Amino acid sequence: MSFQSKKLTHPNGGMYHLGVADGQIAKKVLLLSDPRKVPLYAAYLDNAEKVAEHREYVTYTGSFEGTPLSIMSCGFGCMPMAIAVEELKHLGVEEIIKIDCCPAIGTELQPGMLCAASGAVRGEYASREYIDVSYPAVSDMGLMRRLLRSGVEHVGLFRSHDVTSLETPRTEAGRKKLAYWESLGVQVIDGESSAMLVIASILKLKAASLALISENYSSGESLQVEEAQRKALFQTAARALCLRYGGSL
Amino acid sequence: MKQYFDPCLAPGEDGLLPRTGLLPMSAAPYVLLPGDPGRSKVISGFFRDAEFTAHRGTFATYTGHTDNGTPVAVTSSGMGASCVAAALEELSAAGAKAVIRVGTCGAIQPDLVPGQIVIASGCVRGEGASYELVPPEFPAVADPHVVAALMEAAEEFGEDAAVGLYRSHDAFYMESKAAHPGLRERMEKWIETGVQVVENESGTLFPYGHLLGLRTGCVCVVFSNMFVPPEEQRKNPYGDPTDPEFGPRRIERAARIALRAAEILEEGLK
Repeated sequence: MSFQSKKLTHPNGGMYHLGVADGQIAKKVLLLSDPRKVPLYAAYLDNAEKVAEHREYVTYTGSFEGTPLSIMSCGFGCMPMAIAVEELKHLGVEEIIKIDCCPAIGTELQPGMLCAASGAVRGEYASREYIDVSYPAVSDMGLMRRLLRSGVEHVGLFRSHDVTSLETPRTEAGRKKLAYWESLGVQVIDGESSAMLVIASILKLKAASLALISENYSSGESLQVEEAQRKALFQTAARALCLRYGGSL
Repeated sequence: MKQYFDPCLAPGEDGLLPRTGLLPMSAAPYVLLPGDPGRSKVISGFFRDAEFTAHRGTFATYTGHTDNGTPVAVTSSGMGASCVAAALEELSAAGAKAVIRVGTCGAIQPDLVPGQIVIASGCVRGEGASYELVPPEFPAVADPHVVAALMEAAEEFGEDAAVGLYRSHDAFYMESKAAHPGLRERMEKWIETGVQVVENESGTLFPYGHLLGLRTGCVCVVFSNMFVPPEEQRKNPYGDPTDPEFGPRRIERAARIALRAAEILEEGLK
């Protein structure tokens, strides 16, 4: 086995970066980039408790409609995401869905819509250290099926990359790059999904990514994200992770 | 589905698309895509009604309906990504909405036996055609609605289908049970990263379908495992792979799963 990283822990048992110890995290975890937003989403869990806070990783564990569920920040970009996936695997986590507010490009997604990633363009480089870029970043199709059943109406390709400001409509060069990705049918831009999907696939952890569209770079429309939209984002992903549908899953 | 690329095909003087002989905007919404032209006629035998439509080159097309009346067609592509690219362009111009490849593959994971049905989630792009279409970091991913429909259809048939990654490539004798020496070394990284099977077409099928505004998916039957001795492979729940009826019987099951998936897509996913 080429893929078998060492389980690196602190003397108190906490994972080296996440700070989470065995038994403190559920087998199903929601991830979001911003550590400061974790408490907002943890409020939607039942009996949520903060179990760890270390660097950019803030972790709460509780339950959703009776199923144990954790929510954790993964930081910004591919590097902290790669670490998060590795250490979650060491902790016995089985399923993860990244939920985040992201910009869209193209005409199909408007601010306020939810969009699940079918796959992602691998613009970041963490995943390339694991395997050639010919290997696709794709969502776990069992999780995708559950996301569709939990009400996701839009599915599209994401692009994950490392230098956020190089692909925004603020500069001429950025507009050109965005137009290129739009011409290939990419619909959502983020920093983490492709690293998560590739590394999770290699480590045999089920992963998917769900975005709440906060602005559309092509139309210039944007949205102040409100409580109700945050809650819908959380509930859609939590339902996909936790609920069973007629025993067929 | 939005179309992002139009190859601007021009029909010939007969009004038909030049390579497949299909009439523009005449195709059924759901099209099965086997590689082998001989399999088009066989698969059309599973339609409630089937009519010969056209046969040019490696593209043999029959049109009809499934048991519940969903309009379907079958078009063979021939082998390899180049043929698939041509077939997709013309099926798109002919008005198809979803294309489901039905084929055979070689397994590289030790638990996959001959006869096993494998549904593609995505595909390693080891073939060349997709690099002319999209940059290297672009994912070859099946349409999740089609994958969900194939999963549901397989469950209805009681098939324990695997769902996972394919690898497409262009040189059969480099990656197959008959490959040149060094196969294990060449395949090691794909085995370790969880790739399930090797075939030729999906690496182009998925991204080109996406650009052409077609939903795509793929359901294949494992015909052999590259790394399990033949005598071991005969022990499997699907029958003796050396039996001449084995291949056709398992292909029929894959085709029937694809046809049922078309019905599920037509009904709208539950």
